[in-house]
Amino acid sequence: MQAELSEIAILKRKVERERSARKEAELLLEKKSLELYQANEKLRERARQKEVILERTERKFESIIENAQDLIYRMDPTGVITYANKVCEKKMGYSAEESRGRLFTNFIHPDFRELIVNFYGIQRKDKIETTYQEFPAITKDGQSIWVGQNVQFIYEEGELTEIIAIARDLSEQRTVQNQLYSTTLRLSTLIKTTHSGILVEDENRDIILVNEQFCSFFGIPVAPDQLVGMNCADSAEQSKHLFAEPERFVSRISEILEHQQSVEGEELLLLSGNVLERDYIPLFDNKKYKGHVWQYRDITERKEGEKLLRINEEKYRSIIENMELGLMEVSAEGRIVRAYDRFCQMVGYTQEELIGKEADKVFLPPEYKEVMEQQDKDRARGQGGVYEVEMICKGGRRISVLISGAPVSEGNKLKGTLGIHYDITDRKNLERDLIEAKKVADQAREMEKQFLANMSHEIRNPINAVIGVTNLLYDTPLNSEQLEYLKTIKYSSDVLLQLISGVLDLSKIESGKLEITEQPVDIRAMVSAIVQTYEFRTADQSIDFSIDMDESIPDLVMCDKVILNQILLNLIGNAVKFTAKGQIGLRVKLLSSFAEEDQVDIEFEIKDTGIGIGQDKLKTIFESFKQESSETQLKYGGTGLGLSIVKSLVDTYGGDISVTSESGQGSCFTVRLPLTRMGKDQQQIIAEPILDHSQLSLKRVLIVEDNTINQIYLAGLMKKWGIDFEVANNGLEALEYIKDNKYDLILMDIRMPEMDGYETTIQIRSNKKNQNSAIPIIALTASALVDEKDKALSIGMNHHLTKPFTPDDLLKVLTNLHPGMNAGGGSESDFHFNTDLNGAYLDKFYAQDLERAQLMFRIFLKNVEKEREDLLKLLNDKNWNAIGALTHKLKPNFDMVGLKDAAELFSEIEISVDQHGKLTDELTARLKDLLDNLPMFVDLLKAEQVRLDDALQLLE
Amino acid sequence: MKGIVFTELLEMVEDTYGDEVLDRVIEKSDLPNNGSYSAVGTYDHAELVKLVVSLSEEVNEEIPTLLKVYGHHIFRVFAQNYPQFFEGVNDAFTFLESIENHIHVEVRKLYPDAELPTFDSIRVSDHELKLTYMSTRKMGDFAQGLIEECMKHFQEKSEVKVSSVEDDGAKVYFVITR
Repeated sequence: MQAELSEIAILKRKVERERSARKEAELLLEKKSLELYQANEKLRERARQKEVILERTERKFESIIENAQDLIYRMDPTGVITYANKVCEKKMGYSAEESRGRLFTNFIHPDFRELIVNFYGIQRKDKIETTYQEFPAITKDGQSIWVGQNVQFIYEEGELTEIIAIARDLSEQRTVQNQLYSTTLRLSTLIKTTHSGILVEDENRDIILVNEQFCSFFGIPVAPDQLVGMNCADSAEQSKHLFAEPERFVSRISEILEHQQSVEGEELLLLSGNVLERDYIPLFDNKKYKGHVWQYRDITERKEGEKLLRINEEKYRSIIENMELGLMEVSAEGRIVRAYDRFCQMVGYTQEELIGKEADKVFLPPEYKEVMEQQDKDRARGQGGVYEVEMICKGGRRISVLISGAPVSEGNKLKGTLGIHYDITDRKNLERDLIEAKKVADQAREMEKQFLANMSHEIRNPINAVIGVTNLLYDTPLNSEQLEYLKTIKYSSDVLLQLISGVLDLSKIESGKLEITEQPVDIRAMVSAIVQTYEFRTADQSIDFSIDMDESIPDLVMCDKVILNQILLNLIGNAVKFTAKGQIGLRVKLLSSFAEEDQVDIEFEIKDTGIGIGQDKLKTIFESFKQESSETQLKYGGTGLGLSIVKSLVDTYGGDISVTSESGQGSCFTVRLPLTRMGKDQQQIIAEPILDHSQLSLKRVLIVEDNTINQIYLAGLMKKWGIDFEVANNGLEALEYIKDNKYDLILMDIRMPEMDGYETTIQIRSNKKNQNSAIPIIALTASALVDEKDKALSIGMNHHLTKPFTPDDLLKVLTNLHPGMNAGGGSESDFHFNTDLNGAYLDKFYAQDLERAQLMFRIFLKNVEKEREDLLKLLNDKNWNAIGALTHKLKPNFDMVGLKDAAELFSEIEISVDQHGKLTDELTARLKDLLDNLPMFVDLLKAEQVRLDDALQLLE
Repeated sequence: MKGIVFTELLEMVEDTYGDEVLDRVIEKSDLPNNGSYSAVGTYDHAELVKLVVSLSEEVNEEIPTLLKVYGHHIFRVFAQNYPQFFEGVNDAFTFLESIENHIHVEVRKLYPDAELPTFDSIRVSDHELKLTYMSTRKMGDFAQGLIEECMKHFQEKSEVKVSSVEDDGAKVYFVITR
C-alpha cells in the first residue's frame, strides 16, 4: 500500500513537474512569440524605410540616366530593346515607345551590322562582362552617326538576364578625327611624294619622319619607315663622304643645330657634281624647342639651266651686238647701268662716260619727252614696247633710232629696262626722200592731166575751125586732087576732134566735174529707143537686135538719164561697130528690189556675136587709149576712149562693169547700176505740168532728125502745141530747107548720116547771107557728157537737150529761148482713152500725143489678124517655144493699145514656157479664149482709132 | 543553463534508474521548482550540480563518470534533434572544429542569453587534434563524454586524453588521436 501510495505520489509529483514545466514553456513561448512579433514589426518598418531609400536612389539613378549625355538603353538577352533614355530619342529620332520591342541591330548601319552582331556574339560566348565598340548608327531620318558603345552583360546565377548599353555620339569627334586624319594623310603624302628630301628630328635628334627622297639623296638603303625612332647624332659623320667638303658639311650642321635659327637655300656641292640646296627649320612649341626639319633639294638641273641661260644670254647679246643693234641697260630710276660696244659706237660716247648718268638727260631731245614718259609708264607695268625717237649723240649730232624696250624684272620688282637701239637714220632719210618724190610725181601727173585737158580744149577750137573751113572749101570749085586732099583733111580733123572730145570727157569725169542729176526715167522706153536708133542705122547690115526686158522693173526709176544714155549708147555702139553681121542682144534685169528699200539694182547686159576680145586684152580693155589691138585701131578706127569713159561713168554712179569675151566669139558687157525707186510724191511731180505751152510764141520749127521715132515724137509735140514744122532727115536736107524758108527755131540732132548736127550748125552759122544764120538751134544729143553740151554751145548752138527728153523738158527750153512769144493759138486736147481699154495707162503713156497713139493703133490693127492666125497655128502644132517667143514679142504691142489682160496673159505664157517648156491646160484655154474674142477687141480698137482720128482732125 | 540539459538529465536518470530514483534525486536536491524543467527554459547551473551530486549519492557512482555518461547521452540527443549541424560534415575532427565557429554562433542566435563554453582547436595532423575546453562551469568531464560520443558517432577509433587541467577545471586540454 505504501508502495502504491508512494508510486502514486511519485507520479503525482511527476505530473506536477510536467505541468509546471509545460506552463513555464508556454509562458516562454508566449513571450518568445511576442518578441518575435515585435521583431517582425521592427523588421517590416526597417524594410519600409529601406524601400523608401531604395526608391529614392532608383529615381536618382533614373534621372541620371535620363539626363545623361550618353545614349543608355537596356536589352533582353536576345537584343530586344526594353528601355531607351531620352538621349536615345534625341539623337536617334525614335521615341522610347518606338524603340522598345525592336532589335538593337535595326539601328546599326547596314554595312556594320554583321560585324557588330559577331562582336557581341563573342562577348556572349566568352562571357565577357563589358566591351567597347564603335560603329555608325542610323537615325530615323536616315543620317548615320558614329557612336562608341559600352555594353555590360548582366548575369544572375550564371544566366544572362539583361544587357545594358551606354553609347556616346562620336560624330563630332569623328569629324575632327577624320579631318585630322586627312590632314595628316595629306601632309604625309605630300612629304612622301615631294621632290625634296625631308627629315624631321625631335629635340633629341631622334627621327620622327623621313621620306624616300631623303634616303635616296644620302644613299640610305633602308625604307624610310624603318628609320623612324633612330638617332641622328652621328648621321652627319656617316654621310659626309658624299660631299665635296665633308668636314665643312659636318661642322656646318653642328653650327646650325647650335643656333637653332632658320636657314634657307644653302647650297652643298656633292662629289658626284650634283648640287643640293638645304633648308633648316627649327620647330618650337610655345617657345620650347621641339626638334627641327631638314629639307634637301637637288638643284643640279636648275644650276645647269642657269648656267645655260647665262651662256645663251651672252650668245644672244653678242648676236644682237653683231646685228648692229645697240644695247643699253637702264636702272629703274633711269640711270645707265651698262652700255654695250655697239651702242657706244652709235652714240659716240664711251661706256665710262655714260654709266651712272640719266639716259634721258644725255640722249633725249625735249620734243620726245612725252613719248618717253609713256614708254616709262608701260615699262613700269611690265610691258615692252617699240617706238621711234631721235637721240642726241656726242657732239650734238642727231640720229633716228627704233627702240625696242623691255622691262627687266626680278620677281615682281622692276629692276630696270633693256633697250635695243636700231639706227634708222638712213631709212628715215630715204623715207623722207620717197615721200618728197611721190609728191613731186603726183604733182607732175596732175599737171600732165591738166595740161592734157587744157591742150584738148585749146586744140578743139582750131580743129573746129579747120573742120569748118574744110567744109567751106567743099563749096569751092575743086579738082579731083584737091578734093582728095580735102577729104584727108576732113577725115583727120574729124578723128582729131573725136579724140580731143574723148580726152576732155574723161578728164572731166575723172576730176569729178560730172554732176549726177536724177530724174524719173522710163527705162523700158529708153532702152527701146536706143535699140531702135541702132536698128535704123544698121538697116543695111545683117544685124538682128533683141531686147529682153525684165517685167518686174518699175515703170519709172530715178536715174541720171544722160549718164545712162551715154553708157548704153557707147556699149551698143561698140557692139554694132565690131559686129559686121550677127546678133546684138540687150537684156535688162532687175537684180534686187525690196519693197521697203528704195534702191533697185538693175543689170544691163549687151551681148554681140562680133569679133570679140582676146583674153590677154580683157584686163586692159577699160583703160584709156587701149583698144583690142593696133590692128583693130587700123581697121575700125576710134579713139580707144569709149570704154574707159563708160567705166568712169559706171564708177561715178557707184555701179560696176565687167566683160566676158573670146576672140571671134563675140563679147558680153554687163553693167550693174544702183538706181532709186521712185517715190509716190515724185510721181506726183511728174503728173503735174510745170509749163504751159500756150505761152510759146513759136510759129515755125525745123526738125533735123534721122530717127523716125524721134521725128514722130517731135512732130507730135509740135502739132499738139500748134507749131508749124518741117522734118529734115539729115544735115544736108536741113540746109536745103533753110535756103528757102524762114524758121523760128531748129531742133538739131547731133549724130546723123550724111552730115551731123555740129557740121550742119557750123554751115548755118557760117552762111551769113542766109536769113536763118542767127536762128536759135537746140542740140538734141544722146550723150550723157557735160562736154557734149559744151561742144554744142561752143560750135554756136543755143541750147542742148539730152535724149530722151520729156515734152516738159523741151517746153522748158523753148520757153527759155522764146519767152513771151505766143504760140499760135493751139489748145490743149483733152482726149481720154476708152476705159474699156486700159484707159488710164494709155492716157499716161501717150500723154496726149495722139498722133503717136494713132500710129501705134494703125500698126497694131494692120498686123493683128496675121498674128492671130500665127498663134492659132502654133497652138494647133503645140509648138510651145514658138508661142513663147511670139507672145514675148507681141506683149508690148498689146500693152500699147490698152489690151492689158491680153498682155498679162502673154506674160504668163512666156513664163510658163520658160519654166515648164509648155503651156498649162488653163493657159491654153485662156489663150484660145483670147484668140476667139480677139475680133471683138479689134472692133473696140477700130472704134478707138476713129475717135483718135476725129480728135486729131479737131486739132488740125 | 539551458533547460534541455536538465530535461535530458532527468530523462536519462528515469530511463536508467527508474522513476523512484529520479523522484528521490529531485527530492534530495531541494530544487526551487521541485524539478520541473522545460527544455526551452533557462535555469541556474547550481541546480544541475545539485542534481548530479544527489544522483551520485543515490546511485553511488563517481560524479565524473556520471557526467561522462551524461555527455554520451546528450550528444546522441543532439545528433538526433539537430541533424542540420551534421550536414556536409564527414569526420569528427571537422565537426569538433566547427563547434566554436559554427554551432555556438547558431545557438547564440536562438538563445542570446546562453552561456556557452569555448572550444579552441589545433589540428596537429590528420590523426591528432588538440582541443582546449574553457568554462567557468568546470564541466570538463561532461565535455569529454561529448567528445567521446562524437568520435563514436563518426565511427572513428580514437583515444581522448586529458593532457592537463588548469584553473581547477575551468580549462581542460584534450588530445584526441584517431
